[in-house]
Amino acid sequence: MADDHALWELIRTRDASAFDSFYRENALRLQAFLRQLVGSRQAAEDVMQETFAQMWQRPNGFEPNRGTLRGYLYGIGRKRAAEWWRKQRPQNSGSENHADECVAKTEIDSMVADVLRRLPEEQRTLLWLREVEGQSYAELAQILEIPVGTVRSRLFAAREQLRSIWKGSEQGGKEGA
Amino acid sequence: MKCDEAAEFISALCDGERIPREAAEHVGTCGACRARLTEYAEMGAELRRVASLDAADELRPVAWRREKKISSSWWQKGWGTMRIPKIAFASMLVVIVALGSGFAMLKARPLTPGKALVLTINYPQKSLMRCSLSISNFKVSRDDSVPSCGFFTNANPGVVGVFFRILTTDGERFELGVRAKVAPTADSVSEEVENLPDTPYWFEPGEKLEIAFPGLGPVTVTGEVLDHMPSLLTSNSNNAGLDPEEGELRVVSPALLRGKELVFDLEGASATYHADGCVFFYTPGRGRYVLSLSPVEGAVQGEIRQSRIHFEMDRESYVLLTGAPIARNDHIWILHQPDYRPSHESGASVDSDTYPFMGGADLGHILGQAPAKD
Repeated sequence: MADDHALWELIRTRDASAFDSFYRENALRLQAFLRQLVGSRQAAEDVMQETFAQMWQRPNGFEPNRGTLRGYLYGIGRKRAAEWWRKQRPQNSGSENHADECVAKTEIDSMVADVLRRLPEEQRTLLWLREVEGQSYAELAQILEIPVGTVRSRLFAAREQLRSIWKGSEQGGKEGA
Repeated sequence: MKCDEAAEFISALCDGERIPREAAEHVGTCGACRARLTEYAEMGAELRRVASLDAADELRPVAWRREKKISSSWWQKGWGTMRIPKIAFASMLVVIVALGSGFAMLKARPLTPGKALVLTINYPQKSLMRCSLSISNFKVSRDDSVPSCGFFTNANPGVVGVFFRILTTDGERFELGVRAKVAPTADSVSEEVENLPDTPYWFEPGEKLEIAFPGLGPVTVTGEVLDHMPSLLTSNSNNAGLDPEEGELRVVSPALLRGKELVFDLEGASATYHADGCVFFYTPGRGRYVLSLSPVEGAVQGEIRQSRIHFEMDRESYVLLTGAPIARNDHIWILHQPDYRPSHESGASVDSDTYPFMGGADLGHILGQAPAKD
């Protein structure tokens, strides 16, 4: 946390070198996360770049005593991804689950990847950030803007949903074989 | 404890959390719950495996520079409310040279809420500038942070910079602080103007204020109060609308796209020019783009579609996006000078090589400048 505070001060004072280090450390992982939200690699890269650009050009909003810089970054990324969807499909602005679009764009031959994309966006976000990124409950609460106490129950719900669909897919695969 | 009750704690176990003793005992003895724990763990491992497969291995390098921010701020403030940052002065030098023949370059985004005082400055050679000052946002002090607006032009020889700001108000009258300086280069103007005291003048909208500036001669200042900071000012006070005049080339807040790639984004910057003039953009590393409504040797022809210009260059498609209609013409010529660098010879400083800028100028003047080679 203390390091976050120092880094944030450097970013706020327009230290390009410090920000570039932060970018290099986090960009690819953020991009992988965003790919789970927007579907395509190109769109994920675009949103990732927008996320860092926003942070660089408008360095405000982060409060070191209320979360980590990484959590703040992923929170911005998630919002930019939602904006990306709104621009893509303005008539479906209320939709939070873009699984169909994502499935069509899948490039990875993996059952779990396919199943993950069928989950609602929040569950996908929770599982990816917890299982792949290893983010803490506090960081997840910061990113999703929910109480820390809610994170555990929602993670459980997400795992159950993933497990249910996964088992259904396995069953379907066996029946179809 | 039943399996359903223990299930959420199994999820928590996967996250490295401690769970209640009763739940831990149940999971230790229940085959179904142990199976669930295994499944959760397998799902997590599979997600990490997929993430490893899908990980991009190349990161596009990005230059995190302040240049865009500074450029944008400068133009916003340059003709709207300006604090005269030294760095901004350095970036405007090419424009200064262009001023010599009827330059018209104005910009004011709605930076501050509330009323604005719009000044119209008529100076010799029948040239005219307009700039706006926030009435509600000025500080009653004389420190350098008081917003200003102003202009540069040729003083022959040298460059003169003239800046206005509001010092106080008295009813409908404004006490303007005016600073003007002639210097060999704009760099030196920027330094010297910063250290100048304000010369106070009382000014009332609707009346004329005559001021004699060194190197420039007599200047007439008129003004009006608007209920907002104008989003766009042009040098022609009769044409403040969206529709460009005959022969006018107007570029507002431009962004250039090559295919889907952003070449530059000069948000907040604007330039207009009439007659045989041009509008140009310079961005470090990209050189200079010159736009003209007349054919230019070496330029490609583009198509104007309201606030966009479409053109092909080196077998690639470009679109210049702007915030307002560009001209009445259907066609425009775009000259790219990739080797162009600002130089003292062209009126620019070495410092300005670091910052993007745009402006309007006489076409002959711009084409007469030999591009600097690396």
